[in-house]
Amino acid sequence: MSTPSPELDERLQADLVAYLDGELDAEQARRIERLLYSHPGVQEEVRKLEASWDLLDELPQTHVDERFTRTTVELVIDQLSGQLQSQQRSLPRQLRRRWLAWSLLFGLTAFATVVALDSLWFARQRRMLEQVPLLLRLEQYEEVRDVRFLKQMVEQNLVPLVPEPPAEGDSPPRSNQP
Amino acid sequence: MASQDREPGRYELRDPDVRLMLQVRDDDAAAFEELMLRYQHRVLRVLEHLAPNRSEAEDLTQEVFLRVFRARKSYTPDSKFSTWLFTIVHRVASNARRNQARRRESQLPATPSGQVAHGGMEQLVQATTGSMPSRVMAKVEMREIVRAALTHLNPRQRMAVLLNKFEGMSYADIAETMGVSVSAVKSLLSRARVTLKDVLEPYLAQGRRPRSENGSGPWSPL
Repeated sequence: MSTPSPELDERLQADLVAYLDGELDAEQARRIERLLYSHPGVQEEVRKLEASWDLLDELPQTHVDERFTRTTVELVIDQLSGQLQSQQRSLPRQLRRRWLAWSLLFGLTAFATVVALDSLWFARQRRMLEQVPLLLRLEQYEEVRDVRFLKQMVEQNLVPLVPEPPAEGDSPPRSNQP
Repeated sequence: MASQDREPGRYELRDPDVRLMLQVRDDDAAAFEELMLRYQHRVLRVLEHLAPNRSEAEDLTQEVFLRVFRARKSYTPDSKFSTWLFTIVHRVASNARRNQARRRESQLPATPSGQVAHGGMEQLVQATTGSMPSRVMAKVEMREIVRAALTHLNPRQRMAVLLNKFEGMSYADIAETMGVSVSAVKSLLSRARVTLKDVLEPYLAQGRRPRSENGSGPWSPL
């Protein structure tokens, strides 16, 4: 190996190479040129660097035959068709998943509708049941004919608003019997 | 300058290969073939000096173009096409080197014949030049010596040299391709060129074959 001149440290070597590669700015390039002019040792180093670098041009050009291009294109086509096949394979699965999601949504909607309708119907039934005691005494109330008097009788508990529940074992009250 | 380079559409206007790659992104098969025809020998040329043999280099070149094709949908023209392409080349070569190192670790130590194939420069030259006319022989010998000299560089230095010498890339482009700083590239290239000079100097000065670098094949670790 060559022994570098005292000035040829690693930093200067890097600058010399960068100078040869045209990578230095104008000021740095001028500094290297001054150095080359005044130091034959640096000049010699640059010459050797250039000579060994130029030898790389002797490396043979790479030739690529048609077979290689065709094989690569075929590889790409294979991959593309592989992608398409896997997309096609996953298509029924996607459709099944989509069908399941729609079914679930439809089921949930139907259930919610039934629950809403059911609760509305029950509310109506409850209101009707609340009216049953009134209906059971309707004939008695009609006999009074005076609403104010009836209210007073109710307030004084002379006429019960709600019929008393039947005693255990009794038959249910029959309002249309005297 | 740097801000101009980052301008959107800048490379699309300036680099015809970027426009081709954008066509590939839109699934234009003819554009892909055109790009391959333009670049396959350049990629192979670089990989030939990074892989152990031509066959491996061809496999890696195909791997590079497969990756280009796979990455087409996510391609954005943020740099010159060649810089983007050689970034892939660098990654493919690095992966292959790592895989090779792993395989080597799990195998028995290399046989002497394996060492000769990678580093025995004199045997290599003798084998290739044994039955040739002297002028042709000298040319072939020189090529083999230069090729073998490259094996004295570590893979990162070699990659920087190949991009600089064969692709004419600037330090900035090499830095982008290899994912390192410009000053790191400057250092890599400087050390590489000093090594090449030291290895090739005896041949240049006296026609002597340089010493061989046993065990330092193209996939030698960093």
